Formats: sequence, C-alpha cells, structure tokens
Amino acid sequence: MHIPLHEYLYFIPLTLSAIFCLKTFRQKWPKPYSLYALMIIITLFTELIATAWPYELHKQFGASQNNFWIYNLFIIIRFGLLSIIFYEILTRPIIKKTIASAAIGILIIGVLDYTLIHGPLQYNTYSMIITHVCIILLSLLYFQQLLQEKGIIVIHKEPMVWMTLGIFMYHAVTLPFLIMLGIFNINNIQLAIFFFPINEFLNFFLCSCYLISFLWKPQHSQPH
Amino acid sequence: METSTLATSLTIIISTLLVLSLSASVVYFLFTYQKKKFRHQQEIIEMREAFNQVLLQSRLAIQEQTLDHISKELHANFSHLVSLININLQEILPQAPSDQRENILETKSLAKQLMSELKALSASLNTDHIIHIGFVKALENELNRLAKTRKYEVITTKHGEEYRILPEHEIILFRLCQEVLNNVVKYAHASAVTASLNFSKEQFVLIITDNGTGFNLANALDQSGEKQSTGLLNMNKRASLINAELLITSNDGAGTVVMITIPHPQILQTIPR
Repeated sequence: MHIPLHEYLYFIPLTLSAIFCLKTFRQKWPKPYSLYALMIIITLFTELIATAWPYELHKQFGASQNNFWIYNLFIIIRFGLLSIIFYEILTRPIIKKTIASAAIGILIIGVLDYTLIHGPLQYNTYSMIITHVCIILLSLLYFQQLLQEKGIIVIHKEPMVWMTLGIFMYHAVTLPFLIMLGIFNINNIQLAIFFFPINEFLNFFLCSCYLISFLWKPQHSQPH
Repeated sequence: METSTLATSLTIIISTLLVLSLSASVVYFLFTYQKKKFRHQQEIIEMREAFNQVLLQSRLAIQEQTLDHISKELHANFSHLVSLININLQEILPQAPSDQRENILETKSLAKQLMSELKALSASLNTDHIIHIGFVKALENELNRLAKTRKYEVITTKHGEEYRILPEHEIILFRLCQEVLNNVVKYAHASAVTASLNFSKEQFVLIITDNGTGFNLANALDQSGEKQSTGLLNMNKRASLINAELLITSNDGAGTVVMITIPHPQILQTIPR
C-alpha cells in the first residue's frame, strides 16, 4: 500500500509541540496556556487515531473506513477549547459575554450537525464554516487587543501570538477549500484530492506555529 | 461538466490566494505596528532614563554647591571666630589668677583642636580643594582623620601606577567613599579599616573593608523605605553616574567589604610615586 508521506509531515512539528507543551503543566503557566497545551495533545491524538482509522483501526471495531466522524467531532471539541482560551485572554467584558453566549449556541449547532443534519460520516460543512468564521473573528479580536495594549509586549516572544497567528492563517486560508470539500466528496473526489495540499501545507504551518510558540514563555505586559 | 470543474477550481484558487494575501497583510501590519510601538516605547524609556540621569546630576551638583558653601563658611567665619577666641584667651591668660590659668590653657588647646578639625572638615567638603589635591590624597586625608580618633587601625595599600581620572568622577568617587566611611563610623563598630587601591589601565578598583558587625544587605535594602534611609540607594546611584560597579558584601557579624570598580577609567595623568 502506497502511503503518501508528505501528507503526514505535519506530524513532526505536532509531535514536538505536544512534547514541549508539557512544560506548561510542569512550570504552572496560566490557565489559557494549559488549555492550549491540552488542545495540542488532543489534536495529536485525534490525528493519530484519524490516520490509523482507515488503515487498520476500523477493522478492530468492524466499522467503515470513513474517518470523518473523528474530524467532525474534533471540530466541535477544538472550537470549545479555543472559545475558553480566547474567553480567558480577551479582556473586554462585552467580548467575554459575547463569546460565552455565542460559543454555547455554536456548540449546540455543532452537535445537531454531527448527529442530525449531516451526520457523523459526512463532512459537517455547517459546523466547519461557523467555527472557522468564529475562530477568525476571535483571532482578529486578539490582534486588536495586542495593538491596543498599553504595556510593552515583545509579540514574537509570546506563545499566544504564535498560536493565534497559526490558527488565524489556517482557518482563514483553508476556508474556501473546506467550504467546497463537502461538495467535492460527493461529486468530484479527484478535485478534493487535487486541492488537498492547501490543507496539508497550512496544517504544517499551523503545527510549526504551535512548536514555535513553546520556544517562548508567557509574557506579562510591562508598564511603560 | 469540465467548464464547471474549471470554474470551481479557479474560484477556489483565486479565493484562497485572496484570503491568503489578506491574512498575510493583517499579520504583517500587526508585526510592523507592534515593532514601531515597541521602538517608540523603548525611546520613551531611554528618554526617561536620560532625564533621571540629568536630574540626578543636577541634584548632586546642587549638593556639591551646598557643601562647597558650607566649607567656605566653615573656613572663613567659623575658623575666624575660633581664631578670635584663641587671641582673646591669649590676652586673658597673663591677667588671669594662677588657679584659672590651667583651665584657660586647656580651653586654648581645645580651641586649637577645634580649629584643626574645622580646617579638615572644610577641606573635605570643598570641591575645589578635592579637585586640586586629587581623589587619592583626599581619601587618604579622610582615612587619616579616622586614624586620628584612635578608634580605628587604618591601613592603606596602593598597587599599580597611580593616576588621576576626570575631576567630576573623582568628586563623585570621593563622596561615595565618604558615604562608605560614614557608614563605618555610624554603624559598623569596627576597630580596623583597610583601603586598597588598584590602578591599572583596564580598571580602577577600590576596596574598603572593615571588621565591624556587618549587616544583612537584603534586609537593609528592604528596610531603607521604612527607615527613610537612602544611603545605599545613593551609593548605587553615584556609582552608576561614573559607570562604576559597586559591590557590597556583608553578613551579620562578619564585617563589610565594599568594592568599587571603574572599568576602563578615563585616565588624565599618571602620578609618579
């Protein structure tokens, strides 16, 4: 069986990030950073299971080869975690309130999409679009907060900046392709395969940003 | 069907490129803006530090002027008054009854002592005088004053070819040493004071050691706010003004070592021994 190795290159930075992120627990970094580390560990396990599923793992459970049910579930879990992280790091009360109420609504839509609308075995396009747009907005709000920060932060040394940069680029740039992915899976699988490198490349970029983020330590804004 | 596939592909490619360039622009803007902001804030910090430095220098200049004024007052008025007292006593002495003569002679001797103390004090406060005789001589005078009290055994050692540095640096260094010696007299309960001066082109090192009770440096710095004592802070500030490193090593009951190092001092002239 031919295994396209370039599809799994992102495992290198992702695995390294999962190893380095353990320092957030050991060094007792603040809560948002621990949640971020947890998200990376969950991402690694999801990717491992989702990769192994079509090859061997599905046989153990006597289920179909389709691993969309794993990614669809992951979309909801990751959005939940990112909502909590951004809730913690964004400081404006009105934004916090909006995140809290919007996240609950979106999670309900996600669960409905997963169970009733598309089902677990079809790509959950609605959940994906909503969560992607929300994550892009949250990233932009974080960037805005950084710009308005009165203290001094060396942004290229702040882990959260790298995390937000990675997820912003990934969610924004893959959005056009991922919107069409559900349709391609039904109508034109060749086109899905043709455009898949967009996702691969950005996934690699995202995981590299995760890795870079853990080279630094959380910064506390210095009064100027 | 083929046209539809091409149109879809083009749509994905164009929209992806568009979003990519927009996202990259956002990130680029964020980083450049933040970089500019950071540079601007650094400039503000540097300006503030420069301002504080100027403020400190002016404060020290005012302090120096005041000391100078006091020195001149001591020399001109007080010394003059003590001289008059001495002359008066001299005149009274022949007419005084024999049983009071001894007291008058004693008073005369005390007046003389007072005169010499006033002169020494005046000299140590006088900026022009310190610049004239140089830091090393001024420090030796201070140490001699300590030795004269007979409470301290004073040892001075010099290594290397002696030189003079910038006069304003010498004044600051001398005031710093006065602060150190003042602390020895006030708090150390010491019986011996050692001053070691090391002259080299690379650095000037002055080490003042006492065998007194010592103190806990961290506690002293913590309590300086409560006790409104600015001695240690002033010493650090003075040292920073002349780019000197000040290292104080002390422990309860183990004496104190104060080391002042001036790396690459601006040597004005060497003084032959």
